[in-house]
Amino acid sequence: MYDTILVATDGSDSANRAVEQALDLASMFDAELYGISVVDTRRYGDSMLSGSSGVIDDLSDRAEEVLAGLEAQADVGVTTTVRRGRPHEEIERYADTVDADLIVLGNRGLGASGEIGSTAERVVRYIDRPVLTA
Amino acid sequence: MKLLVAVDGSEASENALTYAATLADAMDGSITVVHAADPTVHDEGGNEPDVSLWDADQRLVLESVADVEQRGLDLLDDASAVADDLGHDVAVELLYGNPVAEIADYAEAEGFDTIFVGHRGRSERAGLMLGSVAKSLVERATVPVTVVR
Repeated sequence: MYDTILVATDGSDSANRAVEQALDLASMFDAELYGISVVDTRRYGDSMLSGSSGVIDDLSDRAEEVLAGLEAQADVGVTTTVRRGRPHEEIERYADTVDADLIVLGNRGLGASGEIGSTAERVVRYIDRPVLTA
Repeated sequence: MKLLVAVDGSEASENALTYAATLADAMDGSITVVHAADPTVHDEGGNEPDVSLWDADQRLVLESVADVEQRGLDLLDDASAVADDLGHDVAVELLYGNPVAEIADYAEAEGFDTIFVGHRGRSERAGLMLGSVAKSLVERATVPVTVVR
């Protein structure tokens, strides 16, 4: 059923639920587990001149920590990556790279302040793969 | 493991049912198929053009509650038959009202572990403005939702 599962996390509560789901499914189906955390550069720009590189680096460190947490929780092998860009695009790209059978993510991440515009919504809309939101 | 599958008669929702059936086999789960009869739905949609009056008739505005109810029951029968072919004996439930609210509330009230729902492929421009049941269910549901295409 699942050979390859990709979980996207930003360390939010709902992402942590997603991680639990992904870990359960990966061990149930003996699937390869991949983890991604995307530094959302839409907010801070991505230019050397913008003076935001410090913020981006901090966020990258944070993303690394979140993924280290995932690796520590996993009793199956997990491959992780930190990407920079628009979260749903980076998630799609990485899902294509690893050919994920399922993408797991939280339904309300750190950026979801309202009803519209969450990463989960965009992933559901734009990615032609099964998506589990927790 | 209690699995809830929301169907609307679309190919994507049949895919969601097939998907859930495969998972239920692996996890020894039980499946309930649910449809929300919502008289405010005016168009069944679909991407193919109307090529005949018959096609148009199939998509007609559904105004009477009795029609909507019958359509819902037919959908559930169809889904039940599909599940039968897959070797699954499923329970069916017809709900009344807004699909997102009713399905999310039903899943929580009845203690389902997870919901499966179909999504009709990439949203076109109109879809971006209107939103989809799948997308809204993801936001509203208190249990994990798997969106299948």
